Amino acid sequence: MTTFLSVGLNGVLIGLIYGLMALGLSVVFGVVRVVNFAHGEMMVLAVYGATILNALFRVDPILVAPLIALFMFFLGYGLQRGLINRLLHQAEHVQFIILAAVALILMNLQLMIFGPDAKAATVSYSLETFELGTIILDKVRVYAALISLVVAMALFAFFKRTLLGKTIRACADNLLGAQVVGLDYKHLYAISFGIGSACVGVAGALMSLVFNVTPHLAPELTLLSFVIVIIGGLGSMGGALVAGVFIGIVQAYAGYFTTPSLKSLFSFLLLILVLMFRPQGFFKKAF
Amino acid sequence: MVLPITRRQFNAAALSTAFLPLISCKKKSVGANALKIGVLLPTSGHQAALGQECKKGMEVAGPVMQELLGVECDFLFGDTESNVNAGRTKAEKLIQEGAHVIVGCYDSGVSSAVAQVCEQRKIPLVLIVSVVPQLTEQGYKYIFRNFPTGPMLIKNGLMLMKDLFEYSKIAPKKAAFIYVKETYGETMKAGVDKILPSFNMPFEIVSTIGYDPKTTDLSTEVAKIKESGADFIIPATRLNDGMLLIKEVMKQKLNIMGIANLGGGGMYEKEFFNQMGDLSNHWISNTAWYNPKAKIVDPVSRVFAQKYPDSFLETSSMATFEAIHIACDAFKRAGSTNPQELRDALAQTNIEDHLSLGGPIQFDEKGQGKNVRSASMQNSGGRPRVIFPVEAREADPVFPIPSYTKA
Repeated sequence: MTTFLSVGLNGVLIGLIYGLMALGLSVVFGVVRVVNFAHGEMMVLAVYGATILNALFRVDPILVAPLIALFMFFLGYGLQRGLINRLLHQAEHVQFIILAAVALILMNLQLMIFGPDAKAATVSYSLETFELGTIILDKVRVYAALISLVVAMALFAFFKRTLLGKTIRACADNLLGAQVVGLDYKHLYAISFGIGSACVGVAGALMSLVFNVTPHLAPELTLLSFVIVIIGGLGSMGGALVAGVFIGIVQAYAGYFTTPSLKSLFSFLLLILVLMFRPQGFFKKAF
Repeated sequence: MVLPITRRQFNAAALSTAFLPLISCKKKSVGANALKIGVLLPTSGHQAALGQECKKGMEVAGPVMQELLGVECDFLFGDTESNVNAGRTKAEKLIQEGAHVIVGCYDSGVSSAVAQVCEQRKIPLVLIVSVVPQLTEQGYKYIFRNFPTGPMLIKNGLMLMKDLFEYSKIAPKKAAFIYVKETYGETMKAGVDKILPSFNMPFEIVSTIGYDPKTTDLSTEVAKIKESGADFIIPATRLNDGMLLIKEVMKQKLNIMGIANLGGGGMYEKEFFNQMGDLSNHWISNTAWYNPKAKIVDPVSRVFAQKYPDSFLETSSMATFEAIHIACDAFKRAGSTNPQELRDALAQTNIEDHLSLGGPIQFDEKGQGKNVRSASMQNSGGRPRVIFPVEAREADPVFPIPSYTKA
């Protein structure tokens, strides 16, 4: 029973990080209506950023997460402003090919610069745990999950409560109306892409504490984010977070009750079931 | 019509053209003592880290072979991209470019595909690692391997474990076997299932767990091991998952006597020590290794230290060096680059002073090395050190581990 509970709780913790990762993709799709195929590569970039800062200055990735988020914001902003805004009126397959190319370039640049070895950040509490009776919880996962939750809540508040958030939602909801009232939608799109990328930045910094990451992991992360976003509901921020936790739990128990190598299979099985019986996902879109 | 060219221009052009072959040949020009060796390694893709490590062996082999055998190695390199189809294509390309012999490919799956190409084209292939037994069991005439097969690694590893338990006067009772679900891991699992029952080991396998090669999280797997009550872990992992496993074992506070594999990597690579620091100590790898007492270690270590001062020789680089050594030795004895003569010379190989642990390098009629052995290495002081066999020992064994929380 102890193992059963430990596995489930670890699934929740990992799921919250997955949720934050997918949230970035959801924000971009929800507003800009562009599927970011370079999502995983951006995530790996954030992981490497945190790992390098950790190795050079022995600084905790949690502390540098805002810095990484800021860098990723500008990267995302620049990508939208300089590239994707030019593709907005192109056919979807053009956007797909261009972003897939960006993904390939990013991955190979990472391979050239960082090499193929797996990297992870090390902190003084890397191997420490919280013990709840006989249940053992990994300290870094607990911290990472809590920060993911806080960032997700802050993001929800930003989109619900602030003027900028509301204008972005207006753009996402009715682009023509937004243009009529004089909103600079291209700038707002770029900010949205930047915010999505900043989410990825925070998730990457947190992930550097939990996982060993290589550039080759990027496509897997992109795919996992897609699965989470589709299950949660395309463009739904709350859905992405809930689906992230759900996938985390499903993967954990799939590994526990069956063979661990089948963990991914259950995620995809779930995806197929959702597409068959509730193609809109768990939640309606929030934008 | 008058051609827009003068006689002087024509002569200059003709003279330049006459020199062109000399210019183009200069780069590829190799001496009579040169052997064109096609080297196939996974330097990109999911096994890139291992391929890069192997490549160090190639870089070291060039100057050492020149120094020891007077053989000039002309390497033609191909990246298999950790992919079977890419490996096959690159093998064809290297043969077209004039490779006299191929060495490669680390991964058994890729090596199987390349072996077919080499056999069809009648070009000798000296395998690097590639532990699947079938590679030398299919009646191929051009395939040679001086590395233990999966079952040999398991048998050697179990014998070395027995040596360790006997030396330590204590043995575990329950073991967990955790393996990566790819060709290497599956081979090891099949071997463990088949061989272990006949070895009368002091422990029984209470948990067998396979995991995805691209996994980033082994918490569930380790939780299952903990639940099984295993006091000893036998992993068949790669580098990244090896590190994940050990970190997770520490986090979940498993009460184990140790972790020792039965062949393969994951716990002896330089990157393992770089990332794990002091936590890298005490883990045991049983696999093919270099003999620290062999004479050839001196020149190899010297060149290796010059080229890679921050690294150390290990199985991947050793196996690559040795495959090239075998090819160069055959070339020297054959005195020819003719593939058939090279193949015949390879079959007659008898190298006394060589890098790997074991007797002279000799091949049986199937092309499998007859005298290859495994060593048992325990990590200490930032590198793996041989603890068994006794004649090659560099450090005394520490078993059970003091406590991994203090490791």
